[in-house]
Amino acid sequence: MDNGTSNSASENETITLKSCDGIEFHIDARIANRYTLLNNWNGGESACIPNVNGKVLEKVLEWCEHHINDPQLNCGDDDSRRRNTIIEEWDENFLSCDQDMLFEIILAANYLEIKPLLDLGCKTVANMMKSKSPEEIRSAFNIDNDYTPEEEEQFRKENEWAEDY
Amino acid sequence: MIEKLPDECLLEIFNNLQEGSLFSCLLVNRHCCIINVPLLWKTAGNYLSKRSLIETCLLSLNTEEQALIPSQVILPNHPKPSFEYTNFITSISDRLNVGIVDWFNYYNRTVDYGVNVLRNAIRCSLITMSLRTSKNLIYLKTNGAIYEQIIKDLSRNNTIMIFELHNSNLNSKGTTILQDAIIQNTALTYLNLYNFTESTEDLCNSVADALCGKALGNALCKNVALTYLNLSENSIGSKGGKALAKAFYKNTTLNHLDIYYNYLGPEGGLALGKALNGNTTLISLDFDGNDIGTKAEMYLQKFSV
Repeated sequence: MDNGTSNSASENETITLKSCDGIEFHIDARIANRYTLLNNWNGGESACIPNVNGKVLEKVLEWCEHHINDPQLNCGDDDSRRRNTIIEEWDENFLSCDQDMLFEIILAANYLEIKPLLDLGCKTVANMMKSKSPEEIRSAFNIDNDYTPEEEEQFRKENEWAEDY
Repeated sequence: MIEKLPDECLLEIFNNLQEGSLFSCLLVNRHCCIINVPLLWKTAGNYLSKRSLIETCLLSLNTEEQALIPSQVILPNHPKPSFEYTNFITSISDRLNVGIVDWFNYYNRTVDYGVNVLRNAIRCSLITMSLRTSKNLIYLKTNGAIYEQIIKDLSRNNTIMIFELHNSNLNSKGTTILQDAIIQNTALTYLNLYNFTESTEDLCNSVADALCGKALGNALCKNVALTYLNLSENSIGSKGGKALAKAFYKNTTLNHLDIYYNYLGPEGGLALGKALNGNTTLISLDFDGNDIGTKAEMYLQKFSV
């Protein structure tokens, strides 16, 4: 390799990523360059990703590939990002997988520091919670209620002011 | 499966929700509650016109704060709140007045004498409680008579950046305390005393001393950030105008000053004009409705739009 600019990978360059269960993926090196953590592992031509299995890594990389030409947003704690729950159609289809996979993607995006995918996953889950009662949220996500009835009633009363918004 | 997500991810999820949905999530289970309460209460200040929010806030009063409210008022007697909710409040606006009226009329229907005094007491008590408990209070706006103690508390506060205080009825002692508060508060950048008090000359002296506290070598002067000041509609008059003017020979923090409708007259206007002539920090000045005359206006020409 003789190109001086080591940070900007050319279109044809590929690297190999290996999931925790040993499945290999050959990806466009620009993807690895784009996300800090993938980039950090990219010492050589292959890298091993512990904690993420092949099935999930495949999905995550599919998303990265689709968004490879997106402008890189500098999204820190930007309030405009917050509460804007509009999701593009492709992303919506991409994330209309089963719930377990959705949560796996969120976990992986969090772990791999792929912030836009993490945001997207979290927005998707948030949309599933919107305008639902506590009981509906519990049953949608299979969550146990560990409140005593008295406790729940007290919390309800103390926060009642927020109910209609 | 959602339980497998770390708290930081749950927080990201809940961050996308509006208050009504946060309320539902909070009631899902204990863990969701712990994560949701800070998010929900961050914006509670926008809902202070709601009677039920006033009720929860009243439950957070400690004994001293309860004692600020005359005993005719029947305070709620349910158990202490499950959380120190008010820790998380970031703003208190004058919607508080609306909520208090609503709460008062609902729970204290039988009281029909001195109602305004009682409501004022409730307001002062709630503000005192917020200043004690909130670690994140950035904005405080209050309209109506105010206890001196609140101004004292303000000087010990180091989070409030925007403070708006109207119709305070503070006397000259009160304005001296306000001076200390301005000097000692480390975060304050925006101070709005529009239609603030009747003791206007004292106010001008206090504010002027506070504004040049640093320059005068006042060791207590911790505020370095005050950039906006509104003293409009305070009947400052020419004497007050002169008192205020002396601050602008020294002050180097203030960018914006609103001082409209204050009866400054030619003398007050001229004093201010001369002081501001050499001041390079002030960018905008609104001095409408002061009848300052042409001479003073010449000095202040650079501020006319």
